Amino acid sequence: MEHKVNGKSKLSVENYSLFYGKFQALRDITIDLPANKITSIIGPSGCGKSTFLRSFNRMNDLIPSVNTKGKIEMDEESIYEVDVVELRKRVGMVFQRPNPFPKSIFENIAFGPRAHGIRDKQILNEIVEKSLRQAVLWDEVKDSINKSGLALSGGQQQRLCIARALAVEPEVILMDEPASALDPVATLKIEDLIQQLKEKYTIVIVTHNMQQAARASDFTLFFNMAEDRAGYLVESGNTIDIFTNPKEELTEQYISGRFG
Amino acid sequence: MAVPRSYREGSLALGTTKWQTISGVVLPSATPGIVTGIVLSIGRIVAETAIFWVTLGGSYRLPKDIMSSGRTMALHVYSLASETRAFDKALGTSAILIIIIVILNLAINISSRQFAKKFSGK
Repeated sequence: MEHKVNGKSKLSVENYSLFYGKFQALRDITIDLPANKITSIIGPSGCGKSTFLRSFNRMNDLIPSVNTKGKIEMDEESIYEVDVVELRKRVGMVFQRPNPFPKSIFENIAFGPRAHGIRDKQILNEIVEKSLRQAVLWDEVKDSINKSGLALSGGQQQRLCIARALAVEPEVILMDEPASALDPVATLKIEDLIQQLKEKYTIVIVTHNMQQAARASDFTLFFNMAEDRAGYLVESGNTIDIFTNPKEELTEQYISGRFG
Repeated sequence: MAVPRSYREGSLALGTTKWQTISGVVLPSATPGIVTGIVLSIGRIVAETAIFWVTLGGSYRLPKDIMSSGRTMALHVYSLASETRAFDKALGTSAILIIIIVILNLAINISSRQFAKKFSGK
């Protein structure tokens, strides 16, 4: 199967496998992800979507038993050859459950830039305002910027986490089911926001929600779980093709809700 | 009161080093628990009884500095009441002991309420 992308690719994965100890969680994945597009990863529970997503910022390195094989490159440079701290600066992440730090809204966003050496209060103020505006949260919180981030609603907290990721000016943003813990209104807000962000960032989003993938992404990867529970890539392509004219029968079955 | 893994991951995902994560996120969020632990153990030591009969030695001399041996107040009360006839001094010590415990408990209450306020954001 051909996995090439029209236009520029940002991330490219070649024969990538991942093991938790002896258990193989991902098998032989080869795919290019397009730059400045939204790529969604869909598939049944346990098929390794999140594990795959967490490979791009080497979050899996935090788990001692993890071993990988194969290559992942960003801008044609292996992600295992750059410093992991530097890599995570360039590849931001938003988690499934909103996880603001127990600090004020301002401190939540200023934490990243400050860790990267920005001390000037004026510049920090500008970064905080810009990030909150980008995350469409500024108007709601501008008068309570010193209140705890935990005092916000779930949807607001998730937008705060997006603002926090934006504040370090990444190139890629990984989102692990960013709306699964939110109500429908907050979900739509996050989806709108993602659309606005793709102009500047390459976005990869894992989702359980098929409508969300169909609505909100340009490119779709469909993962499935093999007999031995290892995740593999079944099909990839433009979202519209995957949802209207899938090549594989398994994809067709999954998107029409017959399994998964 | 463990620090949630999500704080650590959230911080590392921003491209911070391990130390920046510990000093900037992990320690600050663990502080309320650490402070409460310290205050509670002070309260426990001040009021501790029989164990200290053995472990503290029950020094009769007044402590000269922070490193010299001493005795807990509860032990002092016990010694005075059981081995001497200075009941007035035993009662006085008991009163001071009770006052210290009350103050410590008030301090815990106030500080934990303040931390709760700070972290819940209300």
